[in-house]
Amino acid sequence: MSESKIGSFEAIALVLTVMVNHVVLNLPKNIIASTSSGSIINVIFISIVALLIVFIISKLLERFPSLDILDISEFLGGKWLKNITGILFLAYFLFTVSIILRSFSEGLKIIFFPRSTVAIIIILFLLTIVIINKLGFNAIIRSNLFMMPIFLFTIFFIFFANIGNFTLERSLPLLGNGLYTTLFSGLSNLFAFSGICYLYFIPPYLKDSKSQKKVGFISIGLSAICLLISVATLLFIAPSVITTEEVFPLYLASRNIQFGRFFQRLDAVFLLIWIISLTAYLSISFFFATKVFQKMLNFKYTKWYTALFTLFIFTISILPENMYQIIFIENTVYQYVVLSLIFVLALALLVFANIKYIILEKRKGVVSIDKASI
Amino acid sequence: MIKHLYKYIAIIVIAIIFSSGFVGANNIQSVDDLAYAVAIGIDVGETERIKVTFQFTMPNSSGENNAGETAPAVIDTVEAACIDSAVNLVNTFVSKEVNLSHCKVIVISEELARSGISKEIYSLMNKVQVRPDSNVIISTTTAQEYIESVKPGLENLVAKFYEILPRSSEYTGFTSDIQLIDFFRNLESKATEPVAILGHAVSASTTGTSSSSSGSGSENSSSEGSVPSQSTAGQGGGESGTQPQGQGGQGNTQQGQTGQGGQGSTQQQGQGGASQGQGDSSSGGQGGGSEESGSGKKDNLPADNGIENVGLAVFKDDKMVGTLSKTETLSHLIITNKLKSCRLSIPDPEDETKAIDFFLTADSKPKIKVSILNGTPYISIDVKMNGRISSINQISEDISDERITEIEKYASHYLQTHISNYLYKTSKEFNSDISGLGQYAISNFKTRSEFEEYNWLDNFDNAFFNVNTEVKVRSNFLLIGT
Repeated sequence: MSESKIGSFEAIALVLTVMVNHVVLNLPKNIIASTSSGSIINVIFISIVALLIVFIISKLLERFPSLDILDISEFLGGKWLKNITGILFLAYFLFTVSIILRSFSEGLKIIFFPRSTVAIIIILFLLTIVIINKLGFNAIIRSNLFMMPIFLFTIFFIFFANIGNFTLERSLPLLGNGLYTTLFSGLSNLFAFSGICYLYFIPPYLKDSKSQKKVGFISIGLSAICLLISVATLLFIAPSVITTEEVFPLYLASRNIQFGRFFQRLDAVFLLIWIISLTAYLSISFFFATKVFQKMLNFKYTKWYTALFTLFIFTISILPENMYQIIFIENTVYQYVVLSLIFVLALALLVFANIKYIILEKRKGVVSIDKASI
Repeated sequence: MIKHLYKYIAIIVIAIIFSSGFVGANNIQSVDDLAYAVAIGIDVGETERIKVTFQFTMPNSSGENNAGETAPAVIDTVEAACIDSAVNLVNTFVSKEVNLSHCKVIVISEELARSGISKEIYSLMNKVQVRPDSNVIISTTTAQEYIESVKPGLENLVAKFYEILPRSSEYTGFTSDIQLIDFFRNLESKATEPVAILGHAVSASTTGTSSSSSGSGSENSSSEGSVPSQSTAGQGGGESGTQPQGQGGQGNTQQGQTGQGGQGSTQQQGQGGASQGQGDSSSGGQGGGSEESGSGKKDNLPADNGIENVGLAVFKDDKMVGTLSKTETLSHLIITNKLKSCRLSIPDPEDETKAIDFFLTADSKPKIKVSILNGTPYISIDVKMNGRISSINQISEDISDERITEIEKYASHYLQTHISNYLYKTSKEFNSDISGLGQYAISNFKTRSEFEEYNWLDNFDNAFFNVNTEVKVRSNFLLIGT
């Protein structure tokens, strides 16, 4: 796989892809399930918190330009900490890819392929992402950048095309199940911004290492807008009881779109776009999974273990026996994995690495850290 | 060389895996292999829980060779425990596989609706094939009879007929375009109750039946008999504006579409009805009209059956509890802001034997405020309408500001009375908040759980209403006069 540096736009598109796919699948549904009519306030609140976290991450990464979280953990605790961090993130990428893949494939099976087995749909996706990864990082990033406006367009289009079906009163009472549920326990919905994870890995690929802050703010800001738009769409078109019961809530919203008698049943177009979007997301996550593994073991090539990971993802994705198990993993397990890994562990690593940096700086004067010195 | 060999082996293995995985693809049907149901009728079964009627269209019937001819439709009825079983059962004797992706109408009999239809609604919503924009119709006659009576005279395709039919609400205000998704949303909502389109079959053999069942459906039709009614779109603006029965027959009876010359015949029927008096009954009134003009109908109507959709079926939870007449339906549309336009006849304040016809449109969304006073809902509604006078008695000679103001006041009072009657009927008689006023009540509660504890839907019968209406006469049409 050839790698080259990427610009700010490519990096923003990369982080946004993560958000778009989670939004399409079940993210807004989970938020509405926990905060009911207070979802809009909740999303605004967690978006502000997420932007604050991005600000903190940017500040903490300033001392480590062009280094990713693995390099920083190696600086902090040596090889063993790097390997532990690597294993955790590798597990996260593989777990996320597997569950998202299974969830989306189940949805596709229900809607389009009731007679095919879900394994076949999963294999098709896996073959695609293996081929895309073979084409290289540049191919992934550029195709993703090319398709990103279309992905975003679907979310905005569903919102505007459904305005006629909105009942704005469904957002009342604004605090939903109460102030505590909306703001404090609702803070757990921060897992919605799992795209922040990629901010820890992007710095080495950025053409301009200083643009990391800009990438973080713009991508998370746009993600927040996407999330707000999709939560508002689902909240306004149906009672929250219905929204939280749907397999693909945004798909349901797209089924309601019609312009007169001539433009109806546009949902198939949306699904096609979302299939491409999911492929882009899976390719990105798969790429970072292989990169983490490569970095941990200092491998020169990724060829042979790409197949290994593919089999691994396939195995994990077919493990859940039914949709209820998938929903449980998506709603509960995934939420806590994201919160503990991305918002606690990785942040703690950055904080301690900065403390170590400051201590070393005081002892030795100027500390020079780059990839070669680690 | 060995490396290339591995590659070829890998490609062959992958090809075998995929070919086995897509064995199901052999069974994928083309359009010709599927039987598309355009309507489903659900009745109470005799031996099983439900009796399901499917109306299929011939896939090739829209071809050029058939231009100008009505496409043939096939109707099959089976009894089963649920809709899925019924589909399965039909699949056993229909040569093609039943597909519901073009189903436009779901007709449910009143008998079944009164016993609860949540199971059917959930089953339908759970199907990917069934479109959420399918219309839900509650038939006062049996659903099978309703579907069998559909004979579109002005359309070649039954599917198109079903698609266009509910859109008459946009210019009549006699019914509403209630879709499956609307019904489902309201069924699940804690702040509003569901409604469905009310319809029935009108046929020579069942005229009496439909008349009686419709009559029982629109309980307050007699009370409305004292007030002149709405006129229909298109024809209501004529001299017959003061003959509500005739107008009802003209505007909504689908008999006009059952065959060539249907409209003319319906007009005859309407005039016959009009001559009987000014009862503003909905379907009951129309049924009466049909009976009265029965002799004339036999002479003049080539087609003697059809369907009509007038009024709404009111639900409490999943059970039907009553019906709304066309005037009440108009009030419902106004309150829910779904009224696009309609024609309304009101007595001339100067001479009550004459009538003034209005073309009404909403000026703005109704302003609704709900407050909870000592645990009782107090609902204040401000309605603003625009009216154009569509029927005139003579070229203007005495039009003045005072006269316009007088007409506006009278029209406002007329609408206010009807809207109040509608609201009190849904509240006191049905205890069913089909207007979605609960959505406005939520702002009185700090949290959603508080609102749910208050149990709005059960407290709705304690509600009091204060309705203010304002009708502004903006202009006439081509001639100026009143």
